[in-house]
Amino acid sequence: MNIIEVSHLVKEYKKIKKERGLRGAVKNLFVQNTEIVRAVDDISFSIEKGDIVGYIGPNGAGKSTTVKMLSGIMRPTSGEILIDGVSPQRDRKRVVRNLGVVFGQRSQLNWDLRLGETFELLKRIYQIEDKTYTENLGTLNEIFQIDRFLDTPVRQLSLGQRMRGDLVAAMLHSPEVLFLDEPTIGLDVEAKYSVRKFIKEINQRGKTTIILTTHDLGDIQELCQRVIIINEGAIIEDGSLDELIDKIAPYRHLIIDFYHPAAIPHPHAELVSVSEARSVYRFRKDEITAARLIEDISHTAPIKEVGLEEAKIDDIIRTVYQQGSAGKA
Amino acid sequence: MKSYLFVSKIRIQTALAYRFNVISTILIQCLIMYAMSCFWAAAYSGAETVSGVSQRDMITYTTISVIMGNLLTMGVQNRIARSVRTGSVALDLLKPVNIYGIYLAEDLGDCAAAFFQKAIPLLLAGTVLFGFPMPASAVHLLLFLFSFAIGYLINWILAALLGLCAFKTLTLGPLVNAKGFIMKLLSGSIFPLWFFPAGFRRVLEALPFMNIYQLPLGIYIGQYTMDDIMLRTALQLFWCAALWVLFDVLQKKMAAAILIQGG
Ligand SMILES: Nc1ncnc2c1ncn2[C@@H]1O[C@H](COP(=O)(O)OP(=O)(O)OP(=O)(O)O)[C@@H](O)[C@H]1O
Ligand SMILES: [Mg+2]
Repeated sequence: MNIIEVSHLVKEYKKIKKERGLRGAVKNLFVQNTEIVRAVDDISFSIEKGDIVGYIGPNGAGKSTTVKMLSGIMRPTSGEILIDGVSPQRDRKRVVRNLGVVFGQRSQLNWDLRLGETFELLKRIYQIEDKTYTENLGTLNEIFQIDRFLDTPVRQLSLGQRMRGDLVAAMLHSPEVLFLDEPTIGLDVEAKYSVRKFIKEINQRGKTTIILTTHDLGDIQELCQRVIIINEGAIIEDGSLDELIDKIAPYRHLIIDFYHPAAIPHPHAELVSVSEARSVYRFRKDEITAARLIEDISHTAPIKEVGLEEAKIDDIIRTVYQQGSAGKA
Repeated sequence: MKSYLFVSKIRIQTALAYRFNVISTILIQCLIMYAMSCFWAAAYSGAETVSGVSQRDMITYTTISVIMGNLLTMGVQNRIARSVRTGSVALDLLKPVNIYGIYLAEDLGDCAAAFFQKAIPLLLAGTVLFGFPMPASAVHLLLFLFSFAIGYLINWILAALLGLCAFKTLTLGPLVNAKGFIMKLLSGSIFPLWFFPAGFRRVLEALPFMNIYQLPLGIYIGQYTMDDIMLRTALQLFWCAALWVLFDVLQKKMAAAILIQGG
């Protein structure tokens, strides 16, 4: 069953073009040049219950705009969204009750309160039963060890601690759907690791459906079964990460060091460079496996050392972004 | 309902933590109270009554008006403007609650805190300076409290209406101060309407503002007959309902236009 359905979603922003300088300022008083920007341009997708989907794209692609519309806090210019069969535009309160959202850039925790007090407030807002509340807080604490700073005022928390607080706050009412907009922004490796662990665990425990926006492709590689890539408001790729890699960078490189200088050709691999005893082969994953290649070659000459190089995820995504921009221009 | 109450409770708690603010406000308000009483003493200059109001009643009027002023501070307009500009309105909208309900709960919490922190000390100060500001009777006191509550709502809705503008314009700028000044003047908080020329007074009585200060204060000092009170309270309730309907319509319209800044 699809828990999220998005069809032909469009969001236009009106931008007022201001002229510079004093003369411009006077002119602005009388004539306003408005320019319409399509931040999201006819996007459609659907997401199955329990999936973790990476929603990525370069800066300004329209990711945050999409998340804002999905969570019902901003109306689309046109198009339809259904979260579990309900439109967040028509019934915001009902959708939001079953939704957790984290904007990495901004905290939903109350600056003046202690972390625990914020949770108490959320308990009342979402009308969480005492028993469920204690249970949920216990489970979340197991993953995140937040009880150490439960009594600390939020303004005294470090970025990483605050982010954990925010993730817990978003999960307290055990929502079925979670939107995470850059949840790992500004975190150190350790904190990033625990955020990823958290995302994985809640996804597995509660079958929570997650849409994740990030610029850290490590997040995507670790977590997402599926990626949707958008650029300039439109979807340019949608599929599993492996499929994407196969499509963009179908080649791998095998580096072989022999005991003696050698250059051994192979029917399914291209010998791209030979220097002394080191040879580099380029081959397609779908044509031959690395193990097979090594075995074939070792029949001809003894091998000392092997190394396998895959295309780097960052390079692949960069290629996709560039192709997307070129296609549009 | 519980969540709104909890919001109010948190506000009271937070407000009680700021002491310095309170002491300076009380000192300034005492000064204003004293200056106003001097002004009225000079204005009456020995006359028994002016427009049927004694100097004693006028000082009661002023004292209670200053106290009311401290209870009627509305955060909602700036709250909306700030949330819209910084985009934090997103976080309010992400909760399964009525955001205006939350804003009202916050203001009511502030009002409750101000009652203990400012209203009671000012009442004591007023009593020391001029003697206890007695209401006309116990019945008048009860009617005053009711009228004050409705006046509070009218004042809140007017502030919230102004706040709605921020969804379109992103800032309110000098509008907040301008509105505050106009309201003070037209609501009878400084000069009761009966001191204005008849023509101007009729205009002011047709506007909603007098329902915020003048009506409750007039009831308190016994300026109105019982029939008059009933009629004017009915009118006040009508204003409250009409403004609420207007607010609700505009708020629904505005919901479609809300932009979330940043992200
Ligand atoms: N309130 C606004 N008014 C006008 N234009 C806006 C507004 N918010 C966003 N935009 C524009 O819409 C486009 C998409 O913005 P959005 O925030 O969705 O990007 P994003 O994909 O989240 O980028 P990033 O990776 O940098 O966070 C941008 O070109 C941006 O300038
Ligand atoms: Mg963004």
